[in-house]
Amino acid sequence: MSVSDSWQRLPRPLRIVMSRLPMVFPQMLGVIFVTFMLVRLLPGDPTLLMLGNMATPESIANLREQLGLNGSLWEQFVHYMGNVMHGDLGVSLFTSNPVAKDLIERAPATLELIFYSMLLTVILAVVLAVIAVVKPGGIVDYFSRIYGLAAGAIPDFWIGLLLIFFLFSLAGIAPAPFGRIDPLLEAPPAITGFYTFDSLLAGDFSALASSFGRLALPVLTLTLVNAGALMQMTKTTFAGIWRSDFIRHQRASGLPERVIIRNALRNSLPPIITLVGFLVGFLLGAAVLVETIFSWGGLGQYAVQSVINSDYPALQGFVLLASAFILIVYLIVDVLYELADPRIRV
Amino acid sequence: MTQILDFIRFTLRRPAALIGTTLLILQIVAIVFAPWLATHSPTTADPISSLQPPSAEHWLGTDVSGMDIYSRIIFATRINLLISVTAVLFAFLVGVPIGLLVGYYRNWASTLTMRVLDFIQSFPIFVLGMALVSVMGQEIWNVAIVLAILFIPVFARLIRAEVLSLRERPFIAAARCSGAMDATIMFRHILPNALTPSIVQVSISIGMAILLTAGLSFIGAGVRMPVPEWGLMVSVGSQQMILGVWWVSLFPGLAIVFSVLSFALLGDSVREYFDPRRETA
Amino acid sequence: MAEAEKAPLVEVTGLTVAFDSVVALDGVDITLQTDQVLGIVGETGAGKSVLARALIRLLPSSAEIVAGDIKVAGRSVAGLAPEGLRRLRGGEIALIGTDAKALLDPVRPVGEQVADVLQAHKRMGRKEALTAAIDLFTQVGIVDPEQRANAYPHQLSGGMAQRIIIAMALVAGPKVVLADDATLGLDATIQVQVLDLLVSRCRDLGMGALIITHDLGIVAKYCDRVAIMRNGKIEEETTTAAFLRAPSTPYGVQLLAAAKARPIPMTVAEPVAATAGATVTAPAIEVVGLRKHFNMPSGHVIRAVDDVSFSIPRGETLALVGESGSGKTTVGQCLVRLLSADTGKVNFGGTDLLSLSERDFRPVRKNIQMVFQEPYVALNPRWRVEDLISEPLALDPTVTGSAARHKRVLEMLDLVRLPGKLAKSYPHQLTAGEQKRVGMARALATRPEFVIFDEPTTALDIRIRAQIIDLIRDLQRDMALATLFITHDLNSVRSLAHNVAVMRYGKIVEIGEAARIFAAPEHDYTKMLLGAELPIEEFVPAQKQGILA
Repeated sequence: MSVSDSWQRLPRPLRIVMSRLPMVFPQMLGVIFVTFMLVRLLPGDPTLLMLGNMATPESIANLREQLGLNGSLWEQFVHYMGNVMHGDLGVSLFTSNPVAKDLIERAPATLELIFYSMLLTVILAVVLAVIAVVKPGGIVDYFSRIYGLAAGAIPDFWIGLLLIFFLFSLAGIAPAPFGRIDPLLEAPPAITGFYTFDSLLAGDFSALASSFGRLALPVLTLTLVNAGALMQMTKTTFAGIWRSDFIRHQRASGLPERVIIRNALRNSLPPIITLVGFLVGFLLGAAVLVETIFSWGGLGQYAVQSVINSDYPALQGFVLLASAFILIVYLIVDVLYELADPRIRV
Repeated sequence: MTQILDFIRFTLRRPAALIGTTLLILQIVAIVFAPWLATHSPTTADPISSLQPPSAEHWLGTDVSGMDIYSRIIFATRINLLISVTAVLFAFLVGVPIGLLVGYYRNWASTLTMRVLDFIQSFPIFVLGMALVSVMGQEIWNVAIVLAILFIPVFARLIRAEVLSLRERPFIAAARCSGAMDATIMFRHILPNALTPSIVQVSISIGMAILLTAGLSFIGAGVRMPVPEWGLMVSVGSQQMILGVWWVSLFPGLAIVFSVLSFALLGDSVREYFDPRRETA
Repeated sequence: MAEAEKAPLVEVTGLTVAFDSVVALDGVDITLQTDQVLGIVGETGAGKSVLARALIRLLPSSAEIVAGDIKVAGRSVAGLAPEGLRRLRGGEIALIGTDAKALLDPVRPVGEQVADVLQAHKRMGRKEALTAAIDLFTQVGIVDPEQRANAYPHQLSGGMAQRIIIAMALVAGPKVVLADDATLGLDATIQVQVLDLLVSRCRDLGMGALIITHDLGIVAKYCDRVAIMRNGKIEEETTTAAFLRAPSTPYGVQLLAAAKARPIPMTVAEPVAATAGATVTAPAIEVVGLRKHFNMPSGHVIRAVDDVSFSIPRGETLALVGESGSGKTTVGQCLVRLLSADTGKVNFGGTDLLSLSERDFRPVRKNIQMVFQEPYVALNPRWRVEDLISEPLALDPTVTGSAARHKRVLEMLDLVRLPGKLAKSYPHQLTAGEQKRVGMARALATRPEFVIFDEPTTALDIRIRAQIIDLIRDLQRDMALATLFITHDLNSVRSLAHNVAVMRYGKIVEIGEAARIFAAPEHDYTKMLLGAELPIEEFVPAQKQGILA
């Protein structure tokens, strides 16, 4: 009984997950290395740049120590990696807090935003795509073509501003774009970090209403722009399957249309899963812009602040966290993909 | 050559493509004739005329520093397109040979290269762009370089995918039987058949690059004032939107929309032109 | 038959179908009675598939039924509402297509798919439907039906998948089975099994069957009546026996003649005039102990070519026959070094080809060429015919300069009976037959001594196939080529090969003169292969034979 035989006896989902895990470690290593190198790309002495006129030999030495810029490159890297393993991402030059603490405080805000945006985007994109393909030449098909084209050309930050202008300044139906909840209300006790879930769990309905209200515009902004792209790609995938031989054969065998649509969707699942994975990565980047406009207080705003203030430890920490997050998302996506497609041999 | 003429004839028959081409021509005109088309200087501040709504004097109004929005939009066409087109062309010229070599030769070097490219693509593109530009310094050329780096994996991947499927085709085996050597096979047999998706992607990528440049400038990680750039212009007007000053952010945003749209429409028509399911050619 | 005739199962009258302005079917009349098997034969473009799709109203949106009527079991199909159409499809007429695996949903087990079809037509629970499906699997000759029902399509062989499709077609108890080129691409032995199964089940259940094909042999063996289609019209329609005895239209005559093997067996080529002192002519190419194994990641070893030896004298042809998986294609690939063999010798022109480096082998390529199987994909779609044919000329030092090359290209086009003006065309502008010839012109451009033909007659229309066979015979004779002919089309072997080698699972199981092997095969496998062949001569009434030709 060879190794490969005993491997094949394990249940397929387990095999899929286990074959992916070995890659995670070197990839994380790579991520850490790149973020490490980021600051070292600066020409000249970063400490001088940051301290400017206030540089004294003392403060320079201190800062160098803080930034971990002493010693050879290899020593620095080992030092940095050691810190990262312990959860020490340095201290923010701007907030004076440990970067890790800053990031953890702000992460739930961004996650909540991305969560609802993704939900709405996927639903909107898939529904539109399926209807457009199943009823070609219909209203949805026509509309989706225009929407797909337009959505891809609209900058999300611009549409966010326009939404604020029309729905808040002019029409007054949207709440003010200043944060996740009405400043007069208190945030619900943090269990998940999501204001919506937490207020539901705490039974605080005014907080629930307010946080949903505040989520409306930023989520709408992200959705309007990204649903277009996802819809286009879903349409292409689904249309390819819809025209395939086996779908035609199902129709020729007399299966009802809704069963055929279900089967076609099931076949489209693996590529759609991959697309959704990309979407999450994309949303993370887009959140940076949207959070800035809506004063969201999440990771995105933090990142922008760190760029403006040349707060390198904070920027590094953010890039590291963002990349690690994407890595995990892609890992999950890969696993789900292989689960959904029985043709892939593990 | 005849193919280009054929493509032009094809374009003229499709309304979407016509719109795209017209918009592109408008942009080219704006780039070439900017000094003559603009009504005011794009970079001279004039605090007295701050925040004027659109009027006969200032067709699209003025921004916080009193600069004429219309003129800045015209001049910004140069900056936005220059950055985007250079970046994408560079990415194409570097990415295509890489993709060709990586797809054709399956050895450790190609696996390593693919891992590196995978890696670049695994960072959220905007975040990476933001970090790189802030570290390298906010010059126009740095933005272009960063964008080019971000787009190289896109082209390399597209070409590689085509090469992988083409190299198994019988006509490649037949070429080898006819005595063709590696270089001939790669450049004269595979490449002409592999280019189509990448050519379509050029157009789409230029659109994306414009959006990225604008986004980066919006949050302050791209081009700096007083350089006229559409995203920067939107950001300048963002604070005032709530107060009802809509023109400062609206018009530059519209410029972005039309510009990206033009490239998307062109990309679409190129894709349809090369679609093997079409009747002719 | 004096009593009132039962209504025909299918009655098509004056059917005309057009795609935009192009007419695909022109006034077609077809009648199918119960318990009858009707064969519909035609070449590419005749409209056979359009007819099949029209019967279940599954035409593409650009197609329109301009005139005529289709009645199934007495009821007109044209007036049916969507729900009625759905019930018709699969419930009254079931379709079986080509390439069974492509017709099955890749992400679901096949048992469930068949159960789906049953549930779509009859009221029953899921469990019941699955059990019924598994029962049906047994009836269509699937061993281990419960296990098979849980398999996914990609885990099945082509023949097995086709049985599943047949089960899917029969499960709802339709009255008519429509088989549209159902055995294309299947090995001959599998083809016979599948058709035997299909026709016997139809007869058992009292169904009618419409078999659409371009193989007259299939029609001869299985069909009661035959309809010949051409350019959207039915040229003639009669009993199979009557047609085989004497077709009533010129086109029918052409088809029947083309389906027969070229009658004259090849004469053994005269040995090249013995030079003084040389008494034995060495074979043009000699293969000794060729071996090629593939190691799969699972540890399994595929012995594609397992100790194969043969030799081919100058001017003679060896046919390498076998079914898919026999290794015959791999042998060809090893000989032109598209694959590197593990061990063995290939003696050609005094050297062992396998021992040469890639660089040293290159000049030898001038003398060894290959004609590839599928015409369209073997030609670079972006190259002109001229460039394709002249590419190998780089190997020939005697042809230098573009003038000389151009001349040779025209010579080659002439040789394969193509007009010179095609030199400037692109592959997609040529017909399949023309593409095949261009492939041959390219292989022969350097006037090689040894040519390998990989499946030269597969998937060709009846008349084109006959033309290609004639062409190859003439080329062999005129150019005194030593040829290796890789094929599973035994019919063509009769007219083209001096010697035959039968391959199975990487080994040669029998080798000898063609005439002897066809008349008196020794190995069981050879007998099985010959048994699965459907030569039209077998079915033509005996009275023709024996009369002086």
